[in-house]
Amino acid sequence: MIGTDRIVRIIPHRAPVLLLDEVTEVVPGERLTARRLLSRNDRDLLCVAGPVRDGPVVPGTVVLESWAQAGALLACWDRPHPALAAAVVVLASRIDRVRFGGPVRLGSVLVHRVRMVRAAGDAAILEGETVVAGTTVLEVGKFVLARRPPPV
Amino acid sequence: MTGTVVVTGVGADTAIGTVTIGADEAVFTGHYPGFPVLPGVCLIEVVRSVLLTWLGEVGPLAGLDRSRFHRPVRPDEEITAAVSLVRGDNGLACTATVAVAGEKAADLRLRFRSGGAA
Repeated sequence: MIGTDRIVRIIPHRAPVLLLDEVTEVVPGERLTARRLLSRNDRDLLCVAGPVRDGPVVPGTVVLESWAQAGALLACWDRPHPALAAAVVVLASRIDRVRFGGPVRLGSVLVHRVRMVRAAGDAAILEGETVVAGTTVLEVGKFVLARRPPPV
Repeated sequence: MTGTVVVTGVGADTAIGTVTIGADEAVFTGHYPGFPVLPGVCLIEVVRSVLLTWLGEVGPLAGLDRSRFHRPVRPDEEITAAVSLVRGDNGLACTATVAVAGEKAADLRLRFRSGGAA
């Protein structure tokens, strides 16, 4: 089992935004499976103004961000930055053909599956889905991300 | 996350909303240390908040058909979202152009289910 101590050496995301607990399978350059137990903090993390969410349902955007972090992990896996992951940033450039299932509730364990479609230079194209207790709650048709050094 | 959404420029099926997300928000602490930028998916929440403020209610997110992220959004930048609605039998679809400091930050095409929360 690969936990957050290893994850933070590969991607720059940190608490409270780091939305992955562990990696259960990885074939570098090919596919990765990661998990997240959803907490109340996760539910509220990305809300912007508007009514505060106080129910048991976690927004689809949080599920998508968590999946995207699993994608970043696969994209960066075999090329971790020699010093520290914080020396790079990972930015989404496009996300297409996303379908949200759900609802996803607090306390659910998200199981993210990510597959590498193509990698070229500092960009990667990924696809995959998220499953909760056997039900697909998210499908991502195309996710393009770029690794960049942070601007000074 | 807080910040006040202000909706202006309302047309029949269009509206413009603005919101500023402050540097003290937790999201910037971990995304990323030393280089705070808003996660791209937060802009989906910005658009949803504009719709909520404008329409009073909006259902759960059903789909993100297309998105392009052109430029990261930094703390304390005023975010402007121009949204256009397409009402359908199975909920609501919208396109949105998000800009900061006069530069386009993102283009989004979203779908929402009818009714419900989250």
